[in-house]
Amino acid sequence: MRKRALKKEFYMEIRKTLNRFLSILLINALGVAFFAGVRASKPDMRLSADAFFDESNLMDLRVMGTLGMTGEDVKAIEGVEGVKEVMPVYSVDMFGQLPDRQLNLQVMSQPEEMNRIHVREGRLPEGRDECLVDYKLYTSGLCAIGDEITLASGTEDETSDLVNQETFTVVGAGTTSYYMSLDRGTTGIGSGSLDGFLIVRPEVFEQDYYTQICVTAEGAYELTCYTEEYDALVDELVERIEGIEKERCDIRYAQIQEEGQEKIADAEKEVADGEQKLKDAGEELEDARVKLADAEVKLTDGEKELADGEAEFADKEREYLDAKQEVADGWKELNEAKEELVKATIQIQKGYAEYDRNKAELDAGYAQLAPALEQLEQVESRLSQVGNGLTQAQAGIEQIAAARQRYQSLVDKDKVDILSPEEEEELKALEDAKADWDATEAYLTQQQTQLAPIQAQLAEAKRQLAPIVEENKAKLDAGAAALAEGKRQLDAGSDQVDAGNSQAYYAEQELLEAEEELADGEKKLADGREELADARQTLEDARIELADAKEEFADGEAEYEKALAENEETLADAKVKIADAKQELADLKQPEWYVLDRQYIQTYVEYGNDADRIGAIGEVFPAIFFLVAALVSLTTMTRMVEEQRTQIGTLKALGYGKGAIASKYILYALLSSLIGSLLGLVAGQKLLPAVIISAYKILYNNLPDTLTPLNLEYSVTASAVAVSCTTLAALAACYKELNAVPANLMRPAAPKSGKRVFLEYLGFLWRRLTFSQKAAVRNLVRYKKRFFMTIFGIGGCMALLLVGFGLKDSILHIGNGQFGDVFDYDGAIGIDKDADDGEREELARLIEGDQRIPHHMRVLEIAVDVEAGGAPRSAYLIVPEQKEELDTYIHLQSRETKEHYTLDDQGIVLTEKLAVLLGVAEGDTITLKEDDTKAVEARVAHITEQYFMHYVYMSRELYESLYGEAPEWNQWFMKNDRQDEAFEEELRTEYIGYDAVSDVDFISGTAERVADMLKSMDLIIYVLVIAAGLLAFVVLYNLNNININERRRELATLKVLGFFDQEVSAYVNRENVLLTVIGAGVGVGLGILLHRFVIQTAEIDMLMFGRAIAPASYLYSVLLTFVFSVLVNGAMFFKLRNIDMVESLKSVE
Amino acid sequence: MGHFVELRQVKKIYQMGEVTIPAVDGIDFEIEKGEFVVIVGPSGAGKTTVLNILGGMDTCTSGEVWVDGRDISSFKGKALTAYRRDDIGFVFQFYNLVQNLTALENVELALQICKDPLDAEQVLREVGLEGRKANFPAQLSGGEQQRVAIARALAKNPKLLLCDEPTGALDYNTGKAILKLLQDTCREKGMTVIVITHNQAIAPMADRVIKIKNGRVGRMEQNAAPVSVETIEW
Repeated sequence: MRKRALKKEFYMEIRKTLNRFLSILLINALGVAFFAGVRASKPDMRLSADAFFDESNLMDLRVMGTLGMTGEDVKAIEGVEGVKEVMPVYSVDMFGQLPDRQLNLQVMSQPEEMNRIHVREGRLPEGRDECLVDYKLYTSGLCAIGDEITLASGTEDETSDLVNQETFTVVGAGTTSYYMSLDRGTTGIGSGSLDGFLIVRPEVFEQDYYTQICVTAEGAYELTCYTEEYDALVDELVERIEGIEKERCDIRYAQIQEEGQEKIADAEKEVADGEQKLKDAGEELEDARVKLADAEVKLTDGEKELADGEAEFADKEREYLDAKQEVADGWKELNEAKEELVKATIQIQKGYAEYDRNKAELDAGYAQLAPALEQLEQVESRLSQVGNGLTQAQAGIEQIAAARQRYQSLVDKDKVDILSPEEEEELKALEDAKADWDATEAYLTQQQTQLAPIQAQLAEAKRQLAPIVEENKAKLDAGAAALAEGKRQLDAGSDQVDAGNSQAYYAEQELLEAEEELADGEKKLADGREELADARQTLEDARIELADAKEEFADGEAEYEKALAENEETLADAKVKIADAKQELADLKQPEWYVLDRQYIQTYVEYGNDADRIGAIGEVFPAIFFLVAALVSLTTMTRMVEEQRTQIGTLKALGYGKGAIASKYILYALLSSLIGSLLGLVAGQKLLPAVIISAYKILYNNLPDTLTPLNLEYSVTASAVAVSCTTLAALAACYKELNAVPANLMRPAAPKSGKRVFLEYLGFLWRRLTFSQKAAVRNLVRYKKRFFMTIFGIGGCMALLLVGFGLKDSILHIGNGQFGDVFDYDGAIGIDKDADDGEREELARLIEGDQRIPHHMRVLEIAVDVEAGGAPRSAYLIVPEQKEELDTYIHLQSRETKEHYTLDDQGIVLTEKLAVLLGVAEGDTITLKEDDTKAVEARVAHITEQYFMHYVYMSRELYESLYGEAPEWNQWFMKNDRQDEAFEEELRTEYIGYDAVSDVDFISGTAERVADMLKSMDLIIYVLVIAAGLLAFVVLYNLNNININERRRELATLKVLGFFDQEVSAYVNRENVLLTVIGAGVGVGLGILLHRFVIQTAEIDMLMFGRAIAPASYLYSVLLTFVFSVLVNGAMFFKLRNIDMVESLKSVE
Repeated sequence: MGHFVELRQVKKIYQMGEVTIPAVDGIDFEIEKGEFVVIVGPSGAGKTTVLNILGGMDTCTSGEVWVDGRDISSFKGKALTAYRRDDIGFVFQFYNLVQNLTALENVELALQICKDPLDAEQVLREVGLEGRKANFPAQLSGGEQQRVAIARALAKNPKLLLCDEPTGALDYNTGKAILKLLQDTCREKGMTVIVITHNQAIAPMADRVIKIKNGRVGRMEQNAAPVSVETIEW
């Protein structure tokens, strides 16, 4: 474009026809956006998930062993080539008790390197008593941070055998990439479904082996999951790990055997101990019995002693009372005596007073007598003295006479005999004294003579004096004697009183003493009583004690009996168990490993399937969009070139080259489509996958980030196709015009002439049409390109809508058809394969007796591989106990004709999708393989309706004839009288408790799961509907625009003729309505075809979508199409109104 | 107000930014019922604007336009459309037939909306196209197409037949024939016909000639003895 004028003209053209430019831009943007956006959704979904997995370092595979994994296993796996990291994990499903709810929890050891927990609230557990809960439980308000959860075993294992800590404090909530959705899978405990997981410290676990070993593969991190490269890498590693399985399992087996033997030995010892203990207890009891008897005897003795004591006490008491009486009498007597004494004392005192008076009188008498008496006495005294002198003198004379006689005797003796020394001494003393004897004798005889007269005188004085004195004195002495007598009497009375007083005193003293004694006695009595009471109490106590002891003993005895019985039972059980354990150990199968890659993670697989579904949708839908967009661009560009015919002619006439002229239109197309494409690919790839993934996030709520990178491949292809479509359209349109000569071009193009339409030849019909209808029909036929474009646009829109709604119908039909039309049973109780015949029979009795389960039948349901020449397909083989009754539970019928089939003994019934996948029809023969060894061939009798999973139905008789054995029933189909959730939960909880029951499943649960799985499709359907709407709008607007522009003159003329605005738009709209009707009709056909194609592409092997579109969906699609059409027509109304009538006056350009 | 059509100080001023362009700058004229009127003037004199205003296709900026006792200058929107539909028959220079409809149908198109239409076939017979009524416009000659256009206008039984350069796209003889048809229609049916043309030569055939120059009526003259179109040569 060297030519400036042309350049300028080009820009002006864009400015002037901005509408057209934008509409090409927009339709390209839409087409590219939808194409690239929907296509990119699948890789974006994978990328988003991969980023999530990588961030949390999700394991690529895990190894589980039927007998657990050991530390050596960890080391062995770590050594396998291609293993990047390994992480042993403990995991056990347990009941978690919250204040008001019990949850089924998957308790896992805190992962370190792998499967990292994304902590959303709080923190990871740090102590043994801390835990992190599933964020799902946190958000649903079941538990909060700070709550306490108590774990309890859900199996027959002791809780303490599983974990060493039962109560945990919630310190955080988090998510794991292992669970992307809300579904936590199934469990063998409680109701059978897990409520969430719980992360605790590894040291909490008591098991001596790991539950599983998680492994990441070398190089897998760099690859995107779900891709073939990733799967291949992991598959290789799985094979290598399986390579060491045999060796490790052998070791493990030996180890278990050894441990088992040890345990059995321990258990046997324990049993022996138990028996010993029981024996000891019996002995102890016997001792106690003897002791009790002794105690009883002692008690009896004590009772007797007490009785004696009581009797004694009674005597003592009586004695005391007597003594007390005596004392009281004593007191009384004493008091009387005292009174008398007082009286006597008073008399005596009176007596003394008299005596004193008399004495005084006597004394006076005596005093008068005293001098006479004194005289007399003097006389007498002298007389006595004289008498004494005389006596003494006589005595002295006699003494000398005696001494002389002695002397003479001694001298006489000396003369005849020898004297003794003493007699000699005496003689000598006497010889000395002889001289004095005469003198003394003389003197004494003198004295005698002198004294004799005096004596006579005195004796005379005395005889004179003595009578007088004697008389007075006799009188006085008589008074004195009387007085003395009185006094003596008084003194005697006084003495007597004194004696009485003293006696009274003594008596009192005695009484007091007695009282004291009494008090003592009383005290002693009280003491005695107390003592007695004590004794009684003691005795009572002893009695009670004895009673207690007896009772205790009885209890002990009873306990012992019970314990004995129990222990015997327990011991017997233990013995049985030991025997069982021995048996078990003997039966112990060689352990196996399960090397499970991510394909065994439920949400991983579901997510992958969802991504694939979106991918399948992306295969078809965008293509339609693209086609429509290309057609619209083509029409628009053709119209543009046609409009500019004159200008082309002029430029040509001026001498511009073809290239220069064409370049304007090509550039115009290129620019608009390129900008549109760029906008579209960015918007589409950013927006659509985000919307789709966010739709899936409803289901996969853990997916944190949505990655929507621009995908080079889709960007380039989509843009290239869009740009080239539009540009080539422009080129093609130019080409025709450019080849015409300028003169021709300068002339207005001959208007398209009217033509009779074929309808006119059908006179009867044509005549019936009103004039306007005729005109409309003619117009439609006249503008054929527009006609087809519009039909295609509206048809495409209608088809998209129909596919959208129809897809929903089809998906819904999986649930409705499967669980409404085909599966009529409510649930199944799985029979534990290890259950023995007794348990099976008990279960049968239970189920048969259960009023709540009116219909029940045993079936065999096993997984089989079905083959018919090609690749094998997994299916379930169902063999009913009674083939006639199967219809109660499962309806075998043709999907199309609804013809009912019954099982016969000749052939099997195959589900539809399975038959399609295998490529077999009725009458063909297929091979059923249970494992590598068992394979039977069977003829397909019928193909039955089925939407979810694959089944093969076979009669019991056929099974027996094919397999040569009776089927071992492993399920009970039930049809209950109620279907509500509470009822099913109750039934489940009740039956899962029986040993013979392995699981209890309800159809409602499956139906719900299916519904959940497909719920996310809703949003995708809305995306389709919105896209369809946009498409319809753009196409209709564009085409209408062209239509109006082309017919501007005609419409202006109509206006001049006096058509009201409404009439003008009715004139145009009539055509549009007709086009919409035809388009909708075409759309229905197109939609049905497309729908069929989409569901066949989008459905995964496991599912069969419903094939029919519901009538309501047709209605909605048609209504929506009309709504879009009406909207566009409404927008056109203003454009029509603005058509200037003056145009009608202009010449044709 | 005795006149059938009367324009008083009709102005049409276009405001183009700062510039005011008067297309019609105060036109006064009157026409009586049943007259054959020719409005002549050079290109750009404003005669088409007058026609547009008179035909209810455009409104005047100021002034009064009386047609059969009604001031249409005050009409707007629907009333104006109703006026066009009931009172006006329009013949375009380029016929403006709907290509997709046959001659008869093109006439019928106008009849669809009329209160008191004439019979389409009758009118076609009157314009001399009885034999071509089932033909599409593309199958007709220019003159024939214009006849269809006239028939379409007449069939509405309008009060006023407005013709914008009806012969402009036709050759001499055909043009004459068309003018003859218009004149005859006027004479025979007492239809008021207004023909706009730049061709001064046809003025003598009119009962009234209005010459417009620079948006004003230059001269209006009544022709007491209009001649037949056959006698006019140009």
